[in-house]
Amino acid sequence: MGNNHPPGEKPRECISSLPERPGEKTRAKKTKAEENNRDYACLKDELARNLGFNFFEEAEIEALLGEIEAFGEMSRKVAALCLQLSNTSSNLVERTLGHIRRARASLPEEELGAWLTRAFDLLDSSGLQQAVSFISKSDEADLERFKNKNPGAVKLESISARLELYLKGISGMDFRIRASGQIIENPCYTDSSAIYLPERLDVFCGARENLLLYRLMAAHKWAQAAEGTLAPAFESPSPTEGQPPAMDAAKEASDPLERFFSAFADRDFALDLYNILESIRLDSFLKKEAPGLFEKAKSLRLQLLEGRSVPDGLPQKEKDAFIEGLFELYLAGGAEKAPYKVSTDGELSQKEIWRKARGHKCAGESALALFDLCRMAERVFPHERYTPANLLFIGRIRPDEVAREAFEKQLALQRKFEGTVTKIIEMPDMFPQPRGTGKKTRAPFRPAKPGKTYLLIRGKLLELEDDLLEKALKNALPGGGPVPGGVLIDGAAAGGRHVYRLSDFPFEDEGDKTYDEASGQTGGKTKKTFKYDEWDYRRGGYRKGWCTLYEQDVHAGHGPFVEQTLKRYGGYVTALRNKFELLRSEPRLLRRQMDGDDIDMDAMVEALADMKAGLFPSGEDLFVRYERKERNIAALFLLDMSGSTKGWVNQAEKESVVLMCEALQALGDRYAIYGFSGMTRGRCDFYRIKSFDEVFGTAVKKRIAGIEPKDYTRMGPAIRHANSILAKTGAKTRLLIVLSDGKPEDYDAYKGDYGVEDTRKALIEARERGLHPFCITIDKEARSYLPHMYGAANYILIDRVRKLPGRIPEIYRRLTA
Amino acid sequence: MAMSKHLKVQEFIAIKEKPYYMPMGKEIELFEAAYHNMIPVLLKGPTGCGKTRFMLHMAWKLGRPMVTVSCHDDLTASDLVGRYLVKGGETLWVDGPLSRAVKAGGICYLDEIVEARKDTTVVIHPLADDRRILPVEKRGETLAAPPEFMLTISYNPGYQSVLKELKQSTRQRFMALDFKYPPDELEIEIIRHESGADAELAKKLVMFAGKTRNLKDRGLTEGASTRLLVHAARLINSGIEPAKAFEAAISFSLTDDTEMLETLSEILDSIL
Ligand SMILES: Nc1ncnc2c1ncn2[C@@H]1O[C@H](COP(=O)(O)OP(=O)(O)OP(=O)(O)O)[C@@H](O)[C@H]1O
Ligand SMILES: [Mg+2]
Repeated sequence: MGNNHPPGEKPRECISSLPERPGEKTRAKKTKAEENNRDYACLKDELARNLGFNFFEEAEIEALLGEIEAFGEMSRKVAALCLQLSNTSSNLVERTLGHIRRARASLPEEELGAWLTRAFDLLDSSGLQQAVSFISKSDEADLERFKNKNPGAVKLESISARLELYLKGISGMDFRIRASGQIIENPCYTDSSAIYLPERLDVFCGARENLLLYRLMAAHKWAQAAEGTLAPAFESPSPTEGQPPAMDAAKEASDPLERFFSAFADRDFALDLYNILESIRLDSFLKKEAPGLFEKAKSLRLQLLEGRSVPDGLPQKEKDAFIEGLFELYLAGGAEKAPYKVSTDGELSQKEIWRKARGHKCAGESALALFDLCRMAERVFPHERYTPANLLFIGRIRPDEVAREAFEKQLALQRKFEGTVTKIIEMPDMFPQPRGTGKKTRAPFRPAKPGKTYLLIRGKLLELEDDLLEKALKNALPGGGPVPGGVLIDGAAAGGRHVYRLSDFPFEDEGDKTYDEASGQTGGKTKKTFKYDEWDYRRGGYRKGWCTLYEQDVHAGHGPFVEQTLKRYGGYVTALRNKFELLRSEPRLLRRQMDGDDIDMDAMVEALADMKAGLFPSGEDLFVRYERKERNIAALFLLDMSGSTKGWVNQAEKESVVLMCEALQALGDRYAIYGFSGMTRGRCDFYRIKSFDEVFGTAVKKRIAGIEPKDYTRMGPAIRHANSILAKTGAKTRLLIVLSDGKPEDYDAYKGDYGVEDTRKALIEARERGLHPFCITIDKEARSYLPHMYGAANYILIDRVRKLPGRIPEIYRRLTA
Repeated sequence: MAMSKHLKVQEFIAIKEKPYYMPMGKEIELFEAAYHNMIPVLLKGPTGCGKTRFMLHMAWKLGRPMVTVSCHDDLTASDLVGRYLVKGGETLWVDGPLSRAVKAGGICYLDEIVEARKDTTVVIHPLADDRRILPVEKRGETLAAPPEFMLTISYNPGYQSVLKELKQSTRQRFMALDFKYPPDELEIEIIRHESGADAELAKKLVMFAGKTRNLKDRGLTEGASTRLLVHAARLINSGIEPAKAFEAAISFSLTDDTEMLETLSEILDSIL
């Protein structure tokens, strides 16, 4: 550790780097204290009494009171604070006064007041230890930071996107970063999908260190999620005496962590201890996966350790001291720095615990060790209840949040399953009966295979075709699940029943009847009606003429949106225009032309040689000509105008359209812009913003301003309609660029796999027609279904909406270069 | 002038020394089987993953001379097949690399075939199906390829222009080998062999490469290739400070985007 310098200055050394505030030190005004204030007198009396109990000499007490007096207007506050501290330990009073004196030297009066208030707040909210540690940070750098003027403070908001990218790179996993919402002391945790971090970090005075701390926090949570901390698996059963509290069945199933911890008498103690044990174990994971980060974190950890030291005698409770000692040992990486010697006869030696925890191979081992340690702790610190400490970057473990996330994931799976199975059991029997008698047998009898699991429900045997379904089902059924009465059985026990498959069933939309074609036709006369087939993946076939699509103009918007956008992007627009202009006029050397700017030497030589060889020259194509290459490209932009784009996405789509128009005007490619939304198959709305034949004029500009979020996202019919518009252009290269913000979804059954599959099919159709579909998805999460859905199309994921307008012309340029 | 230009592009080489190649799977066996059955081969895969090296190795292994043509959009059919030249008042027919490979029973490797113009690409069609012939129109003759002749093309299916795609009628003439970046242990081995780097350094390089590959489609068009890792390792071996070498050889060549570069340097920071 010795030769490894911290990445920046230590917090304590910041003094030198900060300018001194002129005159500050001499400014202390000696306002006369209000001596006849009775409250104040009482405070002083009590304080004197407490000090007396602690064998302070009369003279000493006098001196201390005199010092308090010297704080002038602040005297009352100071006295009150000292009194509170003296209730615990009189020794603190003296030291605290020293700190306050120093603080006064660098803080103006009103800020000193705020500073004292903060100390009180901490005392109330986080206990003595935190308050004293706060007060003891009284050198100038700390105080500067307190004044919120720390230039090195880092806001989560400003780095979360980068942090997500960093995590994606370093871990390969898709974590979201969220603010944990607790600005001050309570910091960070993960629910296994998202990582929650403080909104702001100003622990250090350098931005680099604070950023590093953010990275350390995030990486630590990644380690927890990746290494099973949140789902410890161990052999021996939970040591619960009584049953865990009754919970909602499905919820309980996804809630093992909560159950695990509720088994401990002192739950907070177990949580923090487990967190530390795991953190000790995870060090080797971090060291392996991110050695550089780990190395740099070492010195960061030592600095944090230093900032943590509080005066002797704290914390008061031995149990708290035990945890603190272990945590500090962890911070020091096991080095002999552990400040708290706990007087136990070696049973709970932190050094020993640390050593063992390092050797743990999995979370289960830590969990088992936790049982032993907690049992011992009950014996060694009887009747003590642990007060949770602030464990800095290792944060807390939040079983409730883990459970919530797991529950939500589970729920999503179940919903998907619910929808399909309910349909099946409500289906009238139209398939062969096992001992089919009178009924028509349209499909051949399909027997169950032994060794395979089936769902038996209301006498029907259902094959589990989908992995995901099977998982949902297996988890769901024991707790009652969404299909009461269903059981999983082996094929051997199926008793000659016919096996149904979800794909056997004609699939009906629920919303069908509510919207028939007539209802969509209430709009103006400008609407043109089209019918499109839709792909039903369960049937493996199209539903003929299933969707009715209405093509119409977007209502003209008010306001100079286009002009404003162009202004906003000022210099960028010019650069963009130039760039595209260049692309257009980039001269291309055409070889072997009938006439041209210059002689084609290669062709000439070849022709001469051919002639000499007795060949008849192939032609007079002996010239080269510089020419603009004819860009025979037609591009159709299809915008998602569903309700979910409301806000930034819509704004970004509109801005992108403006910039694209500018770029394409310069380039001269033919282009059209349409939007889509709608509700149910009976009303698929297709909005014209600019057709291929229209010019980028006032009408189009007004329509761009009028683009706004509407209803749902039925992507299939919109893509099909765009396909046929593009096909009609007759251009050599036809490009379909779809901008959306996520999953296709409609009011009716156009959801989940059905929507994904239909969209996928529509894109495949585009491909088959010789178009080039390209999808741009604006989404923070790289959802797992995207590669499948976009299978036939190239796609790109843009995680920061605001980046879209800047990126899209570049994407277009690369696509057509 | 024109002559030197056209002749310099391709070198026809008989490979004497064994080019180092670390197999990822059964590609060597597949390639040999294709060779013996006279099936042309298409190599797919991201840049710098060992396609060219593989070809050199196979040419050596099969004991055939190899000619490589890097395709570009000015490549004409004559460039491949051959042309008449004038030399000292005499005309002289000069075979193009494809004809030479056919005549010599060698291996012709057309690198980055998508870059070639479509009308050039079709020249290889009759060679790549079971006719195995190369019509040389100017001489009014047709070359029949001997069994030893083999046609190989390469193609990088990554992020690219829709204007440059391999036509189905072309691609469906070939057996395809899909190249990926090697698994960690093998890639470490390759770097060590190619640069003489120690295990520790090679491991770090592979680790960093893995993380950049995680960012593919999240801001990076492609992750770091094996080639870049070898470059970085060599720089470091010549005494360049690792952080600088990683940056210059890898990060900077991956992207120009400042935000992405920052993320890359953060990741690098977490590894070194
Ligand atoms: N399997 C391998 N065995 C040995 N060396 C390899 C292997 N894979 C990659 N390399 C190393 O990577 C370098 C780049 O490989 P190569 O030039 O063959 O890439 P490529 O796939 O042809 O790339 P491009 O598509 O850009 O032409 C090689 O010079 C070699 O050092
Ligand atoms: Mg190559």
